[in-house]
Amino acid sequence: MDLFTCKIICECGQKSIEEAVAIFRSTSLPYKKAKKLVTECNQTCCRRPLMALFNMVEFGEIDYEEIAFLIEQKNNRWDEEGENDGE
Amino acid sequence: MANDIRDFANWLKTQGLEHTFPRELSKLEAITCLDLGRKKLTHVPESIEALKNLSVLKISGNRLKHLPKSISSLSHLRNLQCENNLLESLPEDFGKLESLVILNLNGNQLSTLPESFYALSNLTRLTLAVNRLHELSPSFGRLKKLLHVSLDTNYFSNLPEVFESMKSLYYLDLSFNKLTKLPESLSAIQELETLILEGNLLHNLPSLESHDMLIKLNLNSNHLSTIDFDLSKLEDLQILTLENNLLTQLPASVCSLQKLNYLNVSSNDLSTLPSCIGNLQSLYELDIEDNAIQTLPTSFLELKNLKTLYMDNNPLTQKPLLPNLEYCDIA
Repeated sequence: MDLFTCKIICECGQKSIEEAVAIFRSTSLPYKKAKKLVTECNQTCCRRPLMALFNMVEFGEIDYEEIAFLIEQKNNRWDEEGENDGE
Repeated sequence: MANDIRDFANWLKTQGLEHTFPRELSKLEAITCLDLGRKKLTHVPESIEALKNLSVLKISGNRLKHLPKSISSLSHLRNLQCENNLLESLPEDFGKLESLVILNLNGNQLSTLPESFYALSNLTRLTLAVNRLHELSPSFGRLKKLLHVSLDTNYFSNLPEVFESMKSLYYLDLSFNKLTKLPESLSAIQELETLILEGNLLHNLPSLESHDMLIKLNLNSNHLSTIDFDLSKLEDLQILTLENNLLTQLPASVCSLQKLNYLNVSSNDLSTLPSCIGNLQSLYELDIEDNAIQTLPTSFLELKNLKTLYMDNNPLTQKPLLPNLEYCDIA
């Protein structure tokens, strides 16, 4: 579990999954605003892992392995394209 | 065939799934719905072709790199859910799945589609988001029954003129691609209700005036500096988002949108809002955050139904006194 929780969820903001969970739990803002608290930017970055995590926090059950998979997918695209495509 | 079903039953056993499905081979062979979602599967055996009556197949959330070639023989398959896997390609004769109505391939690693794909003429719902597609074949236009299409988060820099034939399409998501322009045939989609173009490289838009049934239009995170068509033609529009563009002005035609309940123009270069903004009597959420707005027009106080207002990161310092305002991000 720790392997997953300390994984960086987004280059922007450099927050771990665990830190992002804490931020999402502490706010009642909708996703588009809560996301900025994690990434500290105005871009639509790291959308899939962040949105999935936000929904899991809302739902009350977090699948850390699934979030780690989505982060890996996002990182692979990043490596391929060398840019942020919003994923 | 008898061997196939026995082989498939054995495979289920090796995956520890034997308790989830009928033990009797004849009953297993007759199932119409098979849910193998999130089972950490790395492959599905060719013997799946023994399930001749299969109508729904759910294999999302596994680690599949390929689909078995024999999947194409499942002639009754209507719904295939294969989201969040690692598929790099589809079987060449995938298009033989003529009964397919719903196909979900989101979150894979597809860089091309086989030419037979465009024979799936009964598809009404197609989601291919988050793949590695660079090009769409002109044959895509053969999928005339499509109602819901999601091609978001791929690498399309342009799209062929394929929408002319899709008269009934009501949902189209082209967000997070690399589109610099939109196909003209987009304007031929008569029933379009949702159009999502977020995260592209659009500098200008074709006229969207023909889409008078649009309910939701998302143009976030493009390079738009003006809106050059008459927004008032979109008379059913309820949700308009223009966040993170280069707009210096919001056209006054926006004030005619009597059904608009959500408007987001945050992160632009707006210094004012249209003086007629108070005409938006259905508006209940407005986001003007992160602009250069110094004062609000007098008519702003006529937004009687506004409940949520984001206005931080503007020179504005006072929240307006609105009767139904429940949340404002500045005090």
